[in-house]
Amino acid sequence: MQTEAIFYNVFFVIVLLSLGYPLGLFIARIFEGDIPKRVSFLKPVENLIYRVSGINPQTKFSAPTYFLHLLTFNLMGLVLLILILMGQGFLPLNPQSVSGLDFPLAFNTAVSFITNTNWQAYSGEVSLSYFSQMVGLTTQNFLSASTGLAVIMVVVNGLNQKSEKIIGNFWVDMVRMNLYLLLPLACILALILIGQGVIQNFSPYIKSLTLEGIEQVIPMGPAASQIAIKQLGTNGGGFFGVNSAHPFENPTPFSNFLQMLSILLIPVAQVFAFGKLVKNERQGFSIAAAMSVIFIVLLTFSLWSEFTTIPSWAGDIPLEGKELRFGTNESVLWSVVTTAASNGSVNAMHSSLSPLSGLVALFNMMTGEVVFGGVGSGLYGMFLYVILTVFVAGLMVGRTPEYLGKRIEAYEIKLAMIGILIPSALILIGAGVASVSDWALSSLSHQGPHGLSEILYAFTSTSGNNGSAFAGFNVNTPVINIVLGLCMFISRFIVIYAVIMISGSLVAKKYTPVTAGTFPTDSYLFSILLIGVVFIVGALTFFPALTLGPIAEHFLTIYGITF
Amino acid sequence: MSSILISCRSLLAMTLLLGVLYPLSITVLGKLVFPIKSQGSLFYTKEHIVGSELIAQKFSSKGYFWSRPSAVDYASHSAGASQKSATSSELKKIYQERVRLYGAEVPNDMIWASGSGLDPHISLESAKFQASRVAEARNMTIKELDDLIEGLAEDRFLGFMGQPRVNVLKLNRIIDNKR
Repeated sequence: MQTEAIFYNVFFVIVLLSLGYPLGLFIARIFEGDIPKRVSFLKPVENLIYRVSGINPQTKFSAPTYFLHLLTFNLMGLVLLILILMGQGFLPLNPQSVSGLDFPLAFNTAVSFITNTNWQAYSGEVSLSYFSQMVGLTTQNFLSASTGLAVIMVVVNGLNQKSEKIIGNFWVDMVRMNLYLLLPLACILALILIGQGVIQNFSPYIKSLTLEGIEQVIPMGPAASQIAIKQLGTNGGGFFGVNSAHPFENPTPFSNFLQMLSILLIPVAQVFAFGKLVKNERQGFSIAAAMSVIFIVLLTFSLWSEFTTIPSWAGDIPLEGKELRFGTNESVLWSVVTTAASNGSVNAMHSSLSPLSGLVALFNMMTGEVVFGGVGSGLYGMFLYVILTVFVAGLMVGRTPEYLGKRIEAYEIKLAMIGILIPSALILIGAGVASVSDWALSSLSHQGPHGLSEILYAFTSTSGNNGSAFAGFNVNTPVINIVLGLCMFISRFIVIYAVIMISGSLVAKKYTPVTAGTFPTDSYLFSILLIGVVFIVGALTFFPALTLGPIAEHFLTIYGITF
Repeated sequence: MSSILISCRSLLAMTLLLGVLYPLSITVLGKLVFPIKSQGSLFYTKEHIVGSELIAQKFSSKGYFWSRPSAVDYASHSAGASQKSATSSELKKIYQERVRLYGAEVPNDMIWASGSGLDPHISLESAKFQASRVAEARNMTIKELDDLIEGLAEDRFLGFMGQPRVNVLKLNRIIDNKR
């Protein structure tokens, strides 16, 4: 591997961590209601939103009510988005006169965007109007990300407060995250991206005549404003079908660097914010350390695979599906970043990566995207593994486990297992059923193990709320749209439900003082245990499926066997 | 019930802020600060639009430098990739056809289709590899073309980001103007 590549990756991680920490402190202040000066001029807007929406910011809810409000808000968003997508033919800002989507595709797309998945069974420039992209999708890019962040606040309240029944106010958490964090960052990023060449306009598609005299249609649209939040909110849904591989979506190596940074920026920051909020920054550091180690190990493995797996019939590393301006290293790094986070945008086609690089992407998503993970969802997903880890540690020493002074008992463990196992079950059962069903097999574009990987990837990406794809698999069929739509919906809200209910149980518990017998969760030992639990759960659950898919394909590739 | 009412009202308020005001302000600011880039980095002649600096065009005549292969035949209104893996016999076949077309010495980026199908760049090696064909068709010397390629070459950003490359449409426009 070239020196530039190594330098690039080290530089990326350093910049990421050094921006993530101060942003984490910034996020912690917003959560505490101590709005930082730089954004406090938006205070009147916050109050205005409360007034027009009928929100009383002083109210606090119990855990079930909090979940109910969160779910209702998301369901209303789902309904509105389905209406927009199906009715876009009658709505304004539709210069290409595209017609409304059919119900299965509208349902799939709407679920996809409210759940922060941004799985795309459509191609933006072909099927969507500017109105749908902007009013429908851009809005949900923000709202789904802030929903995730609100759940973090529930976790924090559950751990911080003692013997309480109330857990917080969803509306306040959601509005503040949008207003003071996501919106300002998105404005800055969108403008920088336009400066790099990302388009932002409402012109109709342009007809040009190429140098050789061929007619060419160049798509236009308000792309930059959507791309900025698609990365910052770990949404990942591209304005164009090929996502961040499209030169209008990601025109330069610098825009590429910024977008990758934006994908992991808030996920990294939220871990530091968590430490600050539970009043022991080392709690955040120990989780961040575990995440960083997993990230670096998986990245190294993926790079090794891509740079050394050359099919025997080809002379050099395949550049199929990669853009020249990014090259191999920055394509592989992106694939790890986008699946570590629940982002799912791509700058190279994952289906054409080396099989074991595809495996890393799959593994990231299978463990629930907890390596920094999605905005909100990464940390609350990791919280379930943390609960599991203190439980395992408690079993080893034979003591009732505690986390931050709260006893972890049977109820919490049951919910944590539900949150971890249901998405896994959706992946394995879904992919299992699909691989013997005509409705899935007729969509395959590959024979052999890669065909299985295509199906596995589709169920993993949707059940993990990621949204990237092995896109040879034709997913725009009514059955697949509905099935994958349900996978996205169930796994998103089951995990959120589990986390909120655990927090609701913790918040009612008394504080147990730290004694010599308490297992410290701010130590390296804890980080190592946490890494172990993530790998063991992931490997035990998915190893057989991965063996039949990417691992088998790896050996076939080396020997040059094709189907 | 109250949660449904609050949901509807706040959803509309947030949609107005995030789905209307935000993109509109970015559009206005973008147009003011970056009037060319926000509109797609277009190239014009006196009569018509020639294309965008960022979107590859299909070139097949001998007097032009050719873009990287495109799985969608440079359909700019519907970009795409082959999505094929190395165990696909189709990919192997296409690969072997391209090697046959260009010869065994062809640089790597000219035999694999890009991710977008619209990759506007080729590597410097690929440009120089094509220079002899273009020079012959245009009655230019290879040296002249090599100098043009070197002049247009974009290096890695800050010395380590991205790959050295040359924009095919820009290069072809320059050699057209040389005539």
